[in-house]
Amino acid sequence: MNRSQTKNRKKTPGLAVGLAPSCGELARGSELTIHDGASPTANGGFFRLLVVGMLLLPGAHSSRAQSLERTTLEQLEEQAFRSAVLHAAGSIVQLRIIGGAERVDGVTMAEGPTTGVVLSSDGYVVTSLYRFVPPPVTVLAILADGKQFAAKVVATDQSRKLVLLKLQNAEGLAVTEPAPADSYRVGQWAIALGQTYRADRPNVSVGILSAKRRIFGRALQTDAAVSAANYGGPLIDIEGRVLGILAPMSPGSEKAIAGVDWYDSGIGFAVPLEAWMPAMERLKTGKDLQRGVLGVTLSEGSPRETPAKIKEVISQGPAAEVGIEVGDLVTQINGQPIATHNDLKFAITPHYAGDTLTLTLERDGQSQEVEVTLTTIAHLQELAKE
Amino acid sequence: MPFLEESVTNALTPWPSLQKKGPGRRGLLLALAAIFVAVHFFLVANFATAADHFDFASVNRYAQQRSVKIYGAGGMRQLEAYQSGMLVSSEGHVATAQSLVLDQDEATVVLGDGRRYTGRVVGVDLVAEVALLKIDAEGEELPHFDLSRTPDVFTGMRLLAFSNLYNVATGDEPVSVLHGSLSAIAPLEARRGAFATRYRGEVYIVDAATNNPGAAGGVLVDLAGNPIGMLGKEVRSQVTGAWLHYALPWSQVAASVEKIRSGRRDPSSTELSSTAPELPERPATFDSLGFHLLPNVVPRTPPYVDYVTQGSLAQGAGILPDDLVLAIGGRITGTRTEVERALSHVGLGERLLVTILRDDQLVEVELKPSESKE
Repeated sequence: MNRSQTKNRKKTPGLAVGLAPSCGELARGSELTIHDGASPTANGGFFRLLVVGMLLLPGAHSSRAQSLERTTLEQLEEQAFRSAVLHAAGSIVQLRIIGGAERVDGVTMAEGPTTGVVLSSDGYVVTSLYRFVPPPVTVLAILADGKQFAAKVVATDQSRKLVLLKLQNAEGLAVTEPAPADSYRVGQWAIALGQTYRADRPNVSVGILSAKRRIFGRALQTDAAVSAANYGGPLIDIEGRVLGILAPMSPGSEKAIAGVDWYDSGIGFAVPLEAWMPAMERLKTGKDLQRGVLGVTLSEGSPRETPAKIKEVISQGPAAEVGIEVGDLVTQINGQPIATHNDLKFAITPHYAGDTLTLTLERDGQSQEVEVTLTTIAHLQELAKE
Repeated sequence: MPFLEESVTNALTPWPSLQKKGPGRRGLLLALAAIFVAVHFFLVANFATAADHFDFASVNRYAQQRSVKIYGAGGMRQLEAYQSGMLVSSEGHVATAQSLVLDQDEATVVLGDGRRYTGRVVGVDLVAEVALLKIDAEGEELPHFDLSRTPDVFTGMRLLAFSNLYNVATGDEPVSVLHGSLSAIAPLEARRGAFATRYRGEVYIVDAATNNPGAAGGVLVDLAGNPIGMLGKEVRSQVTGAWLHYALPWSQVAASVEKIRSGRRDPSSTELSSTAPELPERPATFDSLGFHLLPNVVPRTPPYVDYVTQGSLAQGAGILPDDLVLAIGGRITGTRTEVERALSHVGLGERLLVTILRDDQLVEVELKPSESKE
């Protein structure tokens, strides 16, 4: 490295732990604060003098200085990973699946245990749907300290591919801490944890948050390695708070195990946890949650360009019940502007059957609002048969 | 200290061009240069013992100089004829994975700088699947990884993996580097095709795609270039069903190399006993305990109790038909097969703790054979 490069990089301030990593590149930005990384035995002032002297000359020394600073940075990063994992580890459980299928949709299922995250001290645990199709005979939950509980399926979120379990006779469990949804930043550290290879401590995969609002607004995306080794486990931030629950997903299919073929690919998904907590409360009643649908089809066109004009209204479906007609143009959902087919799909898909949405429609140049309660695809199919 | 000579030489390189600036300047610079060298020694000495951290380029160079590409037999039926390895002695010992590539007892070893040698197989450790080759580099002091290192290894630590995966480094160039983190330290439970791997000790599982064709025998290092382990072969995890990326711990690599070098050519017998727990000669049976499970009618048949023999230990302990056996002697049992496996670890006549699930409750019962029943 020459001096001008060094100078340029001076503009980059010290790297805050928690920013996106790029093993070497970013770390180089903080090279000039070498005194922080120097030996603790050195006298600060004297040392700084030496360092200034080193920087006056070109050659190998700036790179040496750089490496010392990076040492500290990388050690700090590793320390941060460790403490984040430690923070989250107490509320992760290993789930032993007793029974269950060997193959689903032609895919050989994992033999080993899967992972769950404790949501309440009395034993509500969330996991991925991955090992619950078809439902296993029973599930044994094993805490990091070796305590064991029989676990029962409470209900399933078919839309987000999550299962709510209840550990029988559990109390005083360590509960996970969801990260606030407004703290999510694409590029932030994201660490995927599973309790699969051993029951006493999590397996760790380090990556970043790659995107938000994937799978039509239902998932976060990460480049951490996500597979059967951590489905059902948490994707945590650098403070150990849970960003989301890891689950196989695919933008192209709503099937239960769609997306498993993307394991360890650099494309992994997690259901954002904070926003999901109300859904957990609904699951506690024992009723499954399904993706909500409106009961309409849209006029042909391109998903990203064509306005959301109603082509068909399924008889007796939610849209028909509130008087939505063929030819209506959907312009807003819950106050959010809808300009295209895609906008409509993104606005509706995250909602469950039973959710009520406010639709703003344009008919004959007039704008009007209607309240629609979404239903399930199965219900629509029944209606279509009649 | 690998970088020392290099750094000092570099430090003095700019000196001649600066001489033109006059004697006063020169004196100052000379003093500064002296300080540099002093600081260098100071830092290098300090960090050699403390952390050994260097910048990525240096670590990369350091590891590539010590990594080798190995070309040998194979190339048929989709078996690669190449793999990776690492220098582990100054006189040219190369540690690598034992594989068909070494079937001819000789293989071509290409060093990081492109020099080619013939490597002769010194020996193999059949359990750890480590092989040791020797190249004849007469009179040379080859750079190598230190087998006596005891690196600090922890879950979540960042790692670099060096190997010639997919033979991407087809010419004289050094091997490729991948970065990742240490995912888990766990026993190797894996399969290669239909066969379980022989080594059952702990391995380092990595969250990057380190294990691919040709990667076996490559080196896993920490960010300071300290060797952590040797990349394993392509296997599928029995736990997840997915391809497993793992490395054999450095201590195991060192132990295998040491065994091979000391001439113990067949370390498998001692190895096996150290990695697998000893099984009792006469294990407990369903008959001896007095309960029987549903037959294996489907894959992963849950271990439900079918019937309990009158007057048996099981009946005495209160085991009932339809109980689900979830653990035997602390071993979790999710299938009938796992119950059978767990019983093989229990000696006939030993006290036995059985965990069962009955009406959603976990119940523990103890089977206590009396002396007379043995």
